[in-house]
Amino acid sequence: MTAVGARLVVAAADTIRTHADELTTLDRAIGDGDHGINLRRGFDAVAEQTEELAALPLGGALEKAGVTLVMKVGGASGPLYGSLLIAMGKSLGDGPVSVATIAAALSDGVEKVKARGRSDAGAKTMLDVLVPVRECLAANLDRPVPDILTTIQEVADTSLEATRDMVATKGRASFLGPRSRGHLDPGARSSTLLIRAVCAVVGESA
Amino acid sequence: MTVATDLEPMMGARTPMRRGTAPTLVPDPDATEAGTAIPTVGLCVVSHSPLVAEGVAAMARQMVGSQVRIEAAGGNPDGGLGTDVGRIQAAVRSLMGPAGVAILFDLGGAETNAEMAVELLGELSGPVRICHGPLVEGAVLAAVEASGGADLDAVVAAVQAQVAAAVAGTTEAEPADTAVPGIPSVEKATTLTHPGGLHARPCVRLVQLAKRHAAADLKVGTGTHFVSAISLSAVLSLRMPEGSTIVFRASGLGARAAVDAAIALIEGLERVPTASGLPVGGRMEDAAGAAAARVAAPGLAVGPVWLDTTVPVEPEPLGDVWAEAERLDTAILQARRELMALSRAVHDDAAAILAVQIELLNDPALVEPVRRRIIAGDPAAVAWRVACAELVGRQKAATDPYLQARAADLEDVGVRVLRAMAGHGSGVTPSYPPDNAIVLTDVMTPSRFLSLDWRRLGGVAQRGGSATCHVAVLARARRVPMLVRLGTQVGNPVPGTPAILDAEGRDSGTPSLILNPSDEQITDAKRRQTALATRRESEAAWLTQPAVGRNGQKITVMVTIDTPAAIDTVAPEHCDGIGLARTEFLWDGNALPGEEAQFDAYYRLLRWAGGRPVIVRTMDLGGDKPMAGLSVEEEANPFLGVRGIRLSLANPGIFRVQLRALARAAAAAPGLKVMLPMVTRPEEVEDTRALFHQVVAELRSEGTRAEVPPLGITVEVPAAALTIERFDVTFVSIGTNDLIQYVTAAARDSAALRDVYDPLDPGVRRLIRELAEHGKRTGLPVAVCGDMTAHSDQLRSLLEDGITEVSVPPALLARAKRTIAEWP
Repeated sequence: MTAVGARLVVAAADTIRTHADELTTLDRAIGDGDHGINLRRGFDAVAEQTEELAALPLGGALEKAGVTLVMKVGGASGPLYGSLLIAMGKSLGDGPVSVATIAAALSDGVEKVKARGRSDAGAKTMLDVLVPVRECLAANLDRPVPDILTTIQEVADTSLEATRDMVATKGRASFLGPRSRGHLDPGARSSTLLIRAVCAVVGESA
Repeated sequence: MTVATDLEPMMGARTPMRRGTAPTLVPDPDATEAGTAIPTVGLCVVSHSPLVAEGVAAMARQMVGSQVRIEAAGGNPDGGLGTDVGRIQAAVRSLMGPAGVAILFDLGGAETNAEMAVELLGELSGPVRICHGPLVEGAVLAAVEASGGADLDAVVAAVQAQVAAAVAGTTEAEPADTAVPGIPSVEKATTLTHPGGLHARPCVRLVQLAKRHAAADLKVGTGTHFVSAISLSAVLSLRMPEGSTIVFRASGLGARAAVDAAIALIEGLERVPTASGLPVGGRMEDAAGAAAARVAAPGLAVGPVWLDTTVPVEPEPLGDVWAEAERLDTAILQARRELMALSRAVHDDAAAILAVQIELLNDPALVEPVRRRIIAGDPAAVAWRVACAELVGRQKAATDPYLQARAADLEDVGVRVLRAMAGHGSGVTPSYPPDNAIVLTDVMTPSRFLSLDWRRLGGVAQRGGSATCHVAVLARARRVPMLVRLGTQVGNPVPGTPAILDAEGRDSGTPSLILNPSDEQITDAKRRQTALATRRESEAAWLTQPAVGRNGQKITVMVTIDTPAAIDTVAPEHCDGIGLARTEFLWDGNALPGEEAQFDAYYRLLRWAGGRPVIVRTMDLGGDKPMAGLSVEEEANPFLGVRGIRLSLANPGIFRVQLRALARAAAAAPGLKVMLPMVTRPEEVEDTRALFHQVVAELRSEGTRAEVPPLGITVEVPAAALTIERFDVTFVSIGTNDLIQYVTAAARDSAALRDVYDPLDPGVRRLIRELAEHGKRTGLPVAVCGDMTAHSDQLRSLLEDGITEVSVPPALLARAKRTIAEWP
């Protein structure tokens, strides 16, 4: 990986650290209140590996970061984000990095998250952001990168907001049933934060 | 990732456990010379909480000692609440051997992490399976299974069998073979001495007990056939009669305590139930007038028709299995809350009916098939409706009136839950019936009835229903007029249509629901309503008065009961017992109910009477009440044919069932006397007495208490009336309806012979007088039952002729007492 890779890692860890309390508050409303704490633990561990990760090709770095998340997060979001990154890493492998290969990798990663969580969009989970973002990316491959980045962030924001009116049917929030309505999904929020962080780094370096 | 394949299976140098929970291997007696033990499946307990994981592992170890290796993997990497993929991996690695590892987990996130851990472990020296099941029970059961040498598949299957059990709150209904290995099964038997056997109320208590001992997997049965004691419908289906041997068997945790408690419950059931038993439902309907509307509760109402839709609109499917499952749970919970609230507001019989319904909501036989349907993809409402309909269908098809009566309760509960799903809240439809409304419905259910405020409402008109159903009992007790079996010709009148509900009983014309009545009809109905109210009020005053003539002569006034339910309309202390209980109304057109149902009916009368005499007359069929397949067909003159006791003695198979039920009732409560109809010759009494002695001997040899009750006859054949001294009986009752026919040789229903069929005919009066005199001379009680007692002038002539005992319809009790008090 390159300096960009290191910046990506730092940006992701920073945004999670900055918003850890917000994520925990969101999770306290409809879950077990540990999303921010858990993700912070996971991304801090990833950040500690920044140098090692930067030395790897993007595919390998994603895979390694994914495994770290799996091992360190301590909640369901660990295996979910971990699976996303591991699958993306495997998809990219040692091959070239382009908008098209990233889109294909994201697609594999999202499928893996679906399988791991036995879920799909509409259940008030991170997939309600990841799925539309993946589709947006796939539909805009030919546009200039800055346009793509703007569009993706808009889609992520809109999709996040849409989780507010959803009733959770997966995860701990599903125990609340209809009472889960009216709250943003913390997983969808953390996904949006990570997507924005990634877009910001890519935008600066484009 | 590196994959842990370097670990020695079983006996090799084992990776040290984290958290100091390394199990020790005991020397295995079957160990080979090489020192290898037979491998057992290892168990990995994954929980969000380290304490839970350790605690569950400890409980499982307690069951099996160190025969099975069990590892706890709880908490997140910091030791807080959460899960740790690394720790799970370490536990699985340390447990791994050729027999493999079973992972048990608590909540969803733990499963995801366990899956991740297994995936990241890659290739291992043995198989790993993640088991879905309740954590504590699953771990204990898995440990026991593994200690018995079960392979990984068998361990996983045992844990997953607990899923259905946990969902339904029970273990499988099959006997014995679901026993937990290692726990000896306990079995004990006792004799069911409770009168009426294992009917609804003791069943409910037994099910509640079984639920308190859920881990014991309590089963109940006859010794050859067992059902889960946790399912009300299964326990009810046993239909164990009084005197039968009841066997309890338990094989789970706390088996002995559960069996002992169940035995104590059965043996502690009072010989006499504490409150009036649930009415025996369903069957006892008047064979006559099946197509016509019938009065289920007498009275008169004038008011707007209000349609009571009993089937709510089904809610939109949610499209998600778990959301639908939650909808079911929420609806059941709400239905239960509603029923509890209702039952707090009512008493005795009503509360008992509701208790049965509340228990049905807990019944896995009902709820489990619904869950299975939901899991298979049905929306909750559809699954519930279909499963209810199946169970209702099965119960309705049962030949047992008891189960048939339960079908009505089940339908009621079913609709309540559907309403809750559809968001109808308390079960009161949004538009509450207006004041004085006549509620028109297909079938009024007990809980629906109880949820309406009858102080404001007029009455009930049911298209279906029956005069003997639960709700009729409730309506009579609350003086709410109710018609049943109106059929479909009523149609669906526009709500608010003015109507008259005429349920004034048989004396005042045909019971009917009159839509859009004329002004005159309304005026007339309102006048009758006022008159009825006045009459009820003034008569009520007479009810409590003793039946003593002006001359100080005490007259015994008993009631004539056409159906067992008729007793709900009269208080036992207002009369001197039951002078005639007709049993031909048990006949439903095809068959008499079985011994149990008959016993229930007789026993209920005795309970009601509380020691006062209850004269039950054996079947008086034939004549004007032909019985398909039993009556002699095409008799030229059925009134002079094989009827009454003649028909019974000609069909000893059927007669013996009735005599058995009567003999048991006689032993169960005091006061029973048995009267034989249409007796002509003393031999008929003696043949019956001999049969009675036979069935009593039979019952006693079966271990059932039985007595030959005192015998008497209905005097209706002139030959018997003229030579009454020839009959060895302890009482007689003059059946005036037939006696007048036979003495005057005139049919009662012949309009042309109305003058000839004369109750006050001198020939009739002389016979009655002579019978009364014979009674006074010999001490033989001589009563009169029949229509003569229902008319004040004829009643006065009976008193004049020396009769001191009469039996009257409950509705005329007050009037009869008044006539007596004003006589002579």
